[in-house]
Amino acid sequence: MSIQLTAYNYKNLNYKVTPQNIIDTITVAPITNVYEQESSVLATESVTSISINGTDYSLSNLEHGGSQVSSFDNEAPTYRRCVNNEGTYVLAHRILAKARTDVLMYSGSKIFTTTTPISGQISATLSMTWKSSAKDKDASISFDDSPSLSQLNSDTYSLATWIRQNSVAKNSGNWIFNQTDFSTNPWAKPNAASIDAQKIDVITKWYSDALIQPPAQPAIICWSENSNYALSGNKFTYINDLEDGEGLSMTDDSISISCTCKKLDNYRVRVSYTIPVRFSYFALARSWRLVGGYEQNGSWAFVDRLVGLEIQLNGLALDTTKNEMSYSLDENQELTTNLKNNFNYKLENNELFTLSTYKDTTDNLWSTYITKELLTKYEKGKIVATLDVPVQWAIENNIHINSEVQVQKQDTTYITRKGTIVTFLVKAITKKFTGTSFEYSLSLMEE
Amino acid sequence: MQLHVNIDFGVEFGTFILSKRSYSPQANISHIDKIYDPNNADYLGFQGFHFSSSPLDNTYKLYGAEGYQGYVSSNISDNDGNINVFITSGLSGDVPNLLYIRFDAIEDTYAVDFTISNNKNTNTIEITDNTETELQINLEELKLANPLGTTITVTITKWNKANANVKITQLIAIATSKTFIDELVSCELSENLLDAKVQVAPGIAEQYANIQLYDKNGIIHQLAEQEILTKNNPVTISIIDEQEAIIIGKFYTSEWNIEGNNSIVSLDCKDNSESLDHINFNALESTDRSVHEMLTSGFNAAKNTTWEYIDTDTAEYCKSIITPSSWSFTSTILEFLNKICDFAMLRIYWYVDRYIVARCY
Repeated sequence: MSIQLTAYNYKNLNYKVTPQNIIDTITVAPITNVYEQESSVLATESVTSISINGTDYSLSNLEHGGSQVSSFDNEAPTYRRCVNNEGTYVLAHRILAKARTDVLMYSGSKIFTTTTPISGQISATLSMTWKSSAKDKDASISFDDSPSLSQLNSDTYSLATWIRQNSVAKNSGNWIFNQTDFSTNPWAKPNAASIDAQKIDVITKWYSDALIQPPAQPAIICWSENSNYALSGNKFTYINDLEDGEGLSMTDDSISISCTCKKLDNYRVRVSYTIPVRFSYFALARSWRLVGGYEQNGSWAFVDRLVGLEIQLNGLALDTTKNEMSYSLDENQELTTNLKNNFNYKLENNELFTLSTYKDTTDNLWSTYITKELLTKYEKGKIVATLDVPVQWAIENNIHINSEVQVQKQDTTYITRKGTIVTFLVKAITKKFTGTSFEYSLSLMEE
Repeated sequence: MQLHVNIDFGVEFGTFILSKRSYSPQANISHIDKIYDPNNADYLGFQGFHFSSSPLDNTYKLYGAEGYQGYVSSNISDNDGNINVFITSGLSGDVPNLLYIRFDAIEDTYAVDFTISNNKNTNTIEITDNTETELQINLEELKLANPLGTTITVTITKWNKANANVKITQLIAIATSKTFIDELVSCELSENLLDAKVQVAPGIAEQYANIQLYDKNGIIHQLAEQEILTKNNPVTISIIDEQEAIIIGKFYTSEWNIEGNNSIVSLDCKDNSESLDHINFNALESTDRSVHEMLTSGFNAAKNTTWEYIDTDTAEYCKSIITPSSWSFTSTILEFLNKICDFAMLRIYWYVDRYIVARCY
């Protein structure tokens, strides 16, 4: 029941005869909220530094530091064909060689956070960028010293450069020299939700070539699988009576790559990975002729290091397209897209308002309901008024928000609209106390 | 009608100790005159010796000349612990907001059921199934308006031991706030659903109170100099109508404006909604959800927050709006509640001690 406000109860009445808050056009933009059919990249993260033994390294700085050695030492007096420090074929009866390979493995994880819920199968893609370099040896270092990366002579650097420039990825062993192009190498870009122990054929065996016939181009020790390989046109013949060295083999588990995804909640996925981040290969060899005491030695090393790691999270993307739609009312008070566009109101759009949001039943879409509701109520606008009442009156009549009042003017007629007494709802109350007065200022809006 | 502004500064302004008691009935063993010396406002303790909690169980304790401070009843509880004794005390100083009561911690005896009432209005606080020997009780429900002539009565109806005396060793009324009445120069506060122009706009309506006080005793200046004035002190604004305080707004201090040589100080206050912007809100898992369920998720994350709909019609309205597979990735509760308001055309405003949800159109 409406409270009657007479001129005895209030003062400072102000009201607009013309209606306010007119809305004749409404725009809403609910989102689609449907998942795509095919997987796509949901998020991409770059790894720029890793921690090894408690020390942080930026990926471009992995040349030194840390070591997880999976190596071999070949100190036995076996025979090897090797390249000397002049880069030429050596004819020798006895060659001593040492070689060593390192691979530094790293296990890390990255938590991806998406701003839309994740659904369905997820997977991760690792993209690695590598850089190669070679090191020079100090010629004064004796053969018996274990080789180190800083102890290689300058001639081998140029040889190493030649090797890199001229080697091709003809097989999984040789690819290691061609670091800039991994497009054909499936290992460099594993792409699966879970990759278990994908092996790396990094270094397998040493090979020697014919003792007698020099190759057309400088012979080098190459790492390759258990067969003959040509390196930029070279062809080596396997000599049975020479033992082969052993390197990291295909069955070496210490260099397995793994990449797994775990969904933590609707918005977060942890991608855990184990990858190699640095390969180092260095070799030291000495050969001498039994006759003439000709002695030569040479050594070199290559370092391949990971300088960039990008992880992509793949899955089904949620379509959050905003579908903007505008309506007015036609002469039958039904929604129409013939817009009047005089007084526009746009609902704020967010992820809670979707195309399928409904009221009561799924047939009654919210986008339709609310636009019609607001247009029906506000197309003609509302009469608004303000007035002040004493606090005593307000307390006695329990005036609060949405209290119903009808206002009688000074001439005792009520505020009307088209002949009907307007029922107002209290929409705002300012309670004002001064030394001489205590009253409530009411802001009223036609119901 | 008188306007009162009570500001809880969080420091004790005045305590009082039981100064004048009336009790029922007269103690036999420890006479009131033997307990308390009104001339010195000091406890004397009990004379002689006094049986411990149950005089029928052959246990007893002897107390020396220093006696045993407190009040003890002459009658004892029955076999079920029931008893009816009361103790009344007058108020002085500021209207207390806390009552500290300690029974007998040594004997581990205490009142199980008791009430706290006052002589100015019919408001009472009932405590039942108590198991503590000491308690601090919030007196807000008594809605005490004015300390002058007001008494507080503690009536004990059940004791935790059968056939035992009631014992109260301490009874202290504590005021951590000050009530400003005559000092009020001006006060303006809001209870707004929409803005003053009554425009249709969803979202959270922030309430405010702007107060000017005449710091006649310099208390506020002193507190400011001691750097005790902070933000977020509770401010309760009441109208006193026939000895009952009607709360018309509750806010929190936001900004003081105190000039050194000016006795008029200003205080701007805000409601509690700003705190919601400092509470993280976990992203919503995807599921079918009504607006009512969204609101519940938001307010539940705030903890210890009361909210209600302005009427049943609005409640039904919110329960009827459903978003299938709804989700939200939002940073704070305030942001989440604003999102709900935006699409469901709601308005949320703070009134006294709770959030009220209404339609904005």
